[in-house]
Amino acid sequence: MVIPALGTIFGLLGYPLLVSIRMSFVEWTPLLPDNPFVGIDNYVRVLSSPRFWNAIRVTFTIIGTALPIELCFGFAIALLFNRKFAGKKIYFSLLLLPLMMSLVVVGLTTRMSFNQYYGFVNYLIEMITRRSFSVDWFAHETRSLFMLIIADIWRWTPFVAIILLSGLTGLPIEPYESAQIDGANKYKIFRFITLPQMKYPILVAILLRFLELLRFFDIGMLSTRGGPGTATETISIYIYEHAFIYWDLGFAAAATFVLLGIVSVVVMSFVRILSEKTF
Amino acid sequence: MQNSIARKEVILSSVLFYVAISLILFLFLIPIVWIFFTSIKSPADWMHAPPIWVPKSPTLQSFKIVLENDVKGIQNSLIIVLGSSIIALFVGTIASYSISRFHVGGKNLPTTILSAYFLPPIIFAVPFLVLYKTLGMIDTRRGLMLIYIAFNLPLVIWMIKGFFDEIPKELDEMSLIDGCTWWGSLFRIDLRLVAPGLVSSFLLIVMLCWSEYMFALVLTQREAITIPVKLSLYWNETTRIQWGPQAALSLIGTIPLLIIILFIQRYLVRGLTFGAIK
Repeated sequence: MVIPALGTIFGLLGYPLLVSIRMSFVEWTPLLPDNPFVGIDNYVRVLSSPRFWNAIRVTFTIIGTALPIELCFGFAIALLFNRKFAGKKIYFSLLLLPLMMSLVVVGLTTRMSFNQYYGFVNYLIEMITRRSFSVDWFAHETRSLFMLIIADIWRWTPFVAIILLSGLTGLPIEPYESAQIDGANKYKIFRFITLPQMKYPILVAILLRFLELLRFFDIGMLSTRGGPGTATETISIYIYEHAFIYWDLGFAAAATFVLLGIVSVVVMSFVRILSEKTF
Repeated sequence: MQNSIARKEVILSSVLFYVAISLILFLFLIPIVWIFFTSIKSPADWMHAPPIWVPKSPTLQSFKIVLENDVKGIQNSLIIVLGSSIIALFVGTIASYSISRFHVGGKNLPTTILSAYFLPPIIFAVPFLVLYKTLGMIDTRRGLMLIYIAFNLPLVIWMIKGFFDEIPKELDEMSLIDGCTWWGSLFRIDLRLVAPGLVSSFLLIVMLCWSEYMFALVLTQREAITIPVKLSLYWNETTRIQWGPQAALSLIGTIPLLIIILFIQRYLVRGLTFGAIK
């Protein structure tokens, strides 16, 4: 009874993986008639390519900036929502709306909103700071990266908030009651009661966001497309460009496996941390 | 005296609270509001400096353009996503029943299955392109459906196994004593009990597939094109930029998700975190 399901999964996912492994050791472009075996040549080319390392730098910059902000912001929102108040259901449903936007829509909307003259981001900043602010977000390297980070924060903070909120609502009340009797202030309560018990949800949120940010593709593809130059080219975009624009398939396959190596390291570290926590 | 000061404090903190929450909500809703209004603007208002929020003369022109140009994308999305989700649900439920009841594959199988999820999809994009080229399945609906089924199955199995686990085995054993086979027990009893779980799992995978971009981009061109890819075509326009239809199609592509979220709100955390948080 399990066979159709398992067969599909392993066959459909495993076989291409094997094909890909073979591809990565071969020089393969559809433009050439044959596929000569080149050993680890592709891997060497990948690892020695400055553009590859740039992609890694870009990806980890995005992760390193967006993740902490999403975590803090999401935690703050979760704390605010962790009580009964009038209209909670409505507020909560509205908060979920960014999650419902597909990443393609987010990317396109980012392109619209951050437009120098016609987008509303510059307009809003002008309204708030009462100073003229007509900035081209797309032509500047750091700014375009910043724009993508903002887009990601906008899209995913509610996700983090939901996870943390569900963790918060599961916390027992007794420690809080005894802390209040002992006269602890809010900061101490948060630091010594709430935070330690939230380790598990926090780690889950970090893991999920980390993995998702590693494969940052849709938003970037639909707004800056890796530009200007390669300033916002994440690993996935880099692989995509080499596979489907340059048609250097062997190279792309090798880069893919380097990425797989990175992901495995991350997942294994997290699994180790998570299993330690249960003791 | 004390009481009125305390009351004032409570009112002040309440007001601050609602201000804070409303401000946060406002920040998160701005882009969505923008999309909505842009989809009903007339072409002259699309790109205006300074940007216009509420159009003075709203029009449905953008939606008409979308219905003329992008119907195929909408059709394909519906067929591909719903079709693959139904099949994945069917196959996955049977598999997860086996795993839950008979512990097929031992303790490690569920985790192994789930780990397929942690891989960035780009890893499969290249070999699939090559594979489908030789099989002649590029730009076919069934090609994309096959991939979506393969990627949905782990999640379906994982989620539904959780639901099956909650049903005590005694129930099955009682029905076996009464003369049912395993199959009979499955259909008559267990399925009815996990029915809400089935529905929510189904809606969840529909939600995840609907906006899938990478594989659709690589493997479809004209015949099997889905909404996300159709949407991305608006990016390429430099001469006749069409923000209105772009916003309209974005809206059309988002509304099914909004409806779904209404139904599965309760199961959302469980589904999105793969059951890691109870």
